[in-house]
Amino acid sequence: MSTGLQPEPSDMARRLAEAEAVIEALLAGQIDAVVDPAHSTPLLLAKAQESLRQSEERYRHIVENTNEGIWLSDSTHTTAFMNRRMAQMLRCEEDMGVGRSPLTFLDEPTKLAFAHYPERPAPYQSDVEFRRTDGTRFWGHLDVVPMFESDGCYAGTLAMVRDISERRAAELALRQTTRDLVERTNVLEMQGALLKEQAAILDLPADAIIVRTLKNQVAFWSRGARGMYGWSSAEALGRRVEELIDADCPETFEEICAALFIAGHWEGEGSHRCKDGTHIDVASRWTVQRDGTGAPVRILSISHDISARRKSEIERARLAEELKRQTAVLRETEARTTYALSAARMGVWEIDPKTRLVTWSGTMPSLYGVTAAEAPRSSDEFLQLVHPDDRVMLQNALEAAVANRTELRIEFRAIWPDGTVHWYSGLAQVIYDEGGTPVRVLGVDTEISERKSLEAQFQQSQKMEAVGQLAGGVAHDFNNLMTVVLGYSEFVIETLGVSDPRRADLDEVVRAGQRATALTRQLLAFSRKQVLQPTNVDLNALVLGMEDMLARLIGEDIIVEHTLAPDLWAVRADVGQLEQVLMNLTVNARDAMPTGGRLSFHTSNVELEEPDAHSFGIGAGCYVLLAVADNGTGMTESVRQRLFEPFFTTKLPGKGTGLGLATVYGILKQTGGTVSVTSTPGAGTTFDVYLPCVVEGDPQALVPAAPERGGTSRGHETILIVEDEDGVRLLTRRILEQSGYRVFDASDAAHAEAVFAKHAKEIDLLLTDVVMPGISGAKLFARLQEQQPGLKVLYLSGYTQGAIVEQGPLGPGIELLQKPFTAAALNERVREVIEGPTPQPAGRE
Amino acid sequence: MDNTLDHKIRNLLAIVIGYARLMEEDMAADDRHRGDLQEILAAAVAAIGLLSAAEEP
Repeated sequence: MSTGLQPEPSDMARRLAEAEAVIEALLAGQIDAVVDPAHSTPLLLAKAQESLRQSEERYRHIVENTNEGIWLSDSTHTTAFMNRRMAQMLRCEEDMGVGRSPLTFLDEPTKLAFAHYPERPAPYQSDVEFRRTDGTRFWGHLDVVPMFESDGCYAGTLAMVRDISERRAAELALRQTTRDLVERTNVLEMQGALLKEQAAILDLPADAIIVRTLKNQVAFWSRGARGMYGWSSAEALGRRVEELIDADCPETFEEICAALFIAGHWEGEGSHRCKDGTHIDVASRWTVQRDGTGAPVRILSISHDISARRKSEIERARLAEELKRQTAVLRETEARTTYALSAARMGVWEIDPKTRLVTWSGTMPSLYGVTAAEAPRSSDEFLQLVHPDDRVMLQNALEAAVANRTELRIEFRAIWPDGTVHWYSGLAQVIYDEGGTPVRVLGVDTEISERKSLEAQFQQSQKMEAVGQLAGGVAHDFNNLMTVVLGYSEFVIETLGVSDPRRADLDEVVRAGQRATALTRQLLAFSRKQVLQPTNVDLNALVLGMEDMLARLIGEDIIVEHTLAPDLWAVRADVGQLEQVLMNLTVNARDAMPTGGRLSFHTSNVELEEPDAHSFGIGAGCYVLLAVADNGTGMTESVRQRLFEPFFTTKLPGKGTGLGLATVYGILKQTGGTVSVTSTPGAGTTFDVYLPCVVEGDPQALVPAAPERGGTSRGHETILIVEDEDGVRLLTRRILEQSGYRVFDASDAAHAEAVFAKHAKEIDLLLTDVVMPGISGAKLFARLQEQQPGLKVLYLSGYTQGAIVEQGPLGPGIELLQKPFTAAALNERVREVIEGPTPQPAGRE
Repeated sequence: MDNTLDHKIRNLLAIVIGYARLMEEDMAADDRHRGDLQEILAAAVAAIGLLSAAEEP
């Protein structure tokens, strides 16, 4: 303001206040003019007008230069004025808004706020978003003051607008920041909670959490570490970890750190020592904490006590090992069981009574000669394997066992696919449920064919033994009686003329006596009660020596062939018995070829080893095989099985005794050999005779087979006869005396010794029974030989059940004459012995 | 003893005894062979007795 006056500021203020009051009064109409006395003009008015102009000017200046938008509207909401600042804010010309409603610059929501403003004019303040003329928006703080006429009528509105966009943006930013902060706070709270949880987890008593420095010193020792190792946190902090734990770990701390710093983590297990000295197994995981540069600063380890787990693992491993061992044992046991079942020819089976389905163990198919694929699936199919004659019996037995709750024990036969019949023993147990219903039948089958065969053999053996004992008991006396019959018959025949009619009758007597004697001899042979005189025999020579005799026996329709090994070993056998064997086998072959055929004798050396030898019933070793084969009628299996059974014959009644092959069997068994038979009905039969060969180094020379015996049978020497059977003794004496010998006789050994004591020098030959009351003939000879070493001996034998048999065959060089004997045979043998070498001392005393 | 064998031997002894008795009947009382024949008969009869004894249980 410039008035030309230079008043004092305080005075200036006062005067301005006075002026303003005058102006106010003028404006209010309270005064009309102010007169300046110097100019007689209404100075004050001019001044007032000037002042008013200046005031307007001042206010205009203020309005135009204020930083707030000023917007005047009339009572119709029509813009009357807006200052420059407002126009700037709206980005329009100042007069552009004049005549327009301010609402055009507001958004619709803001418009609503002013919709009823004229009706209720009142001061109003609000932050309002304005819409500029270019479409952009800005926030402004709106301060609305209603204006009224002097009469109180609403005159319009003065609105002052301050651009608050920046503040608003700041507020928004602040609000966003606040929201962000809230969110971050929430996150942090969540993280905090999580951390708390993690911390709680980390601080679980079960785990030991240890933070250590790079020098392995404890920086943190968790509650779990205390619980695990026994050291408190106070005790542990600052100390080196190895002082506290002394871990049994293959890697050193430095080695672990080296791996840890590279990989960022390390895991391992080991044994840690606790404060109390005990050790625990621990699984640890180490991680490394790094600073901002990535350099390691600390090591965090979490260790878990795995002692229980390790113990469990060890126990589990032990159990696994035990299970493995038991499994192996079980398998071995199973294998053994299977092997045992197989070896024992046993099998296990099961039948479901309801479905009749059958389950077989692995050994069952071979037991019945079928493959696993051919194994029966039902009891009906199984019955098809059973021998037709045994099916009903087996089925009834099984049903009875189920019905009566009894154990099933039965023997039955089955027929293999190859047609062979096999014996079985069945043992079964029925299993019932709680209601008493049979749920299954468990059984074991054992093939007992071999046992059955052995039983049959045993029965046959017993039968033979019984027959043999009986025959032996009879034979001794019987032979004595036959000796008498035949001896006296010879006496009579010798005295009868050739044309004497009684001679024919006597021939019948002799023939019948000889046949009866032969029967008895056969009986003794198969019962192995004969006295053998084994010598080293050339079997080839024996076979060839009997060729003529056998040829006469078999007739001309049968061709005889020989295939004899040139280097055949000698056999140890009784020549006479071998002749009997050959003759019986030849007769048997002849009878098998009624219309002729081919009979072959084959010899060879064989060495039998186990189990072949065992299967033949003889020991392993060297044998000579004599095979006697024919191409006759052959025989069935059932006949073959009974072939050597005494009194078994396929011949018509009266045509055979059934002792021929039994005799062969008995002789060979007594000799130490055996015989086996193979036969095919319609194709022929082969008897394989095995005879023990001579042991190398045996000093005995081979005895010529079928030695020729002959020469004069008369003599003059002195003979001592010792025989307890009067008839035989007297007959013998009579024969010998008739042949020119001088004879002493005695009925027992004591009497004989008495006679010998008197005539020892005179007696050349002792002719004695083998078995006598008191001492045996052999012992008697031994005693007498001591007195006269040059004494010779010839034994007479009927039945030899006594000492001679028990002590084995008579010794080498000992001569034996079987009872009954003929006069000719007696004279011939007496002559041979007298002219033969003196026997070695028996040494049997 | 087996019945078959026993039967066979008895038959044979029957033959012996039969022919021996026939001869004995035809023989004069003072025939020098009578003694021998009686020995034969006695032995054969004894043999049958032996078989019978063996059959007894």
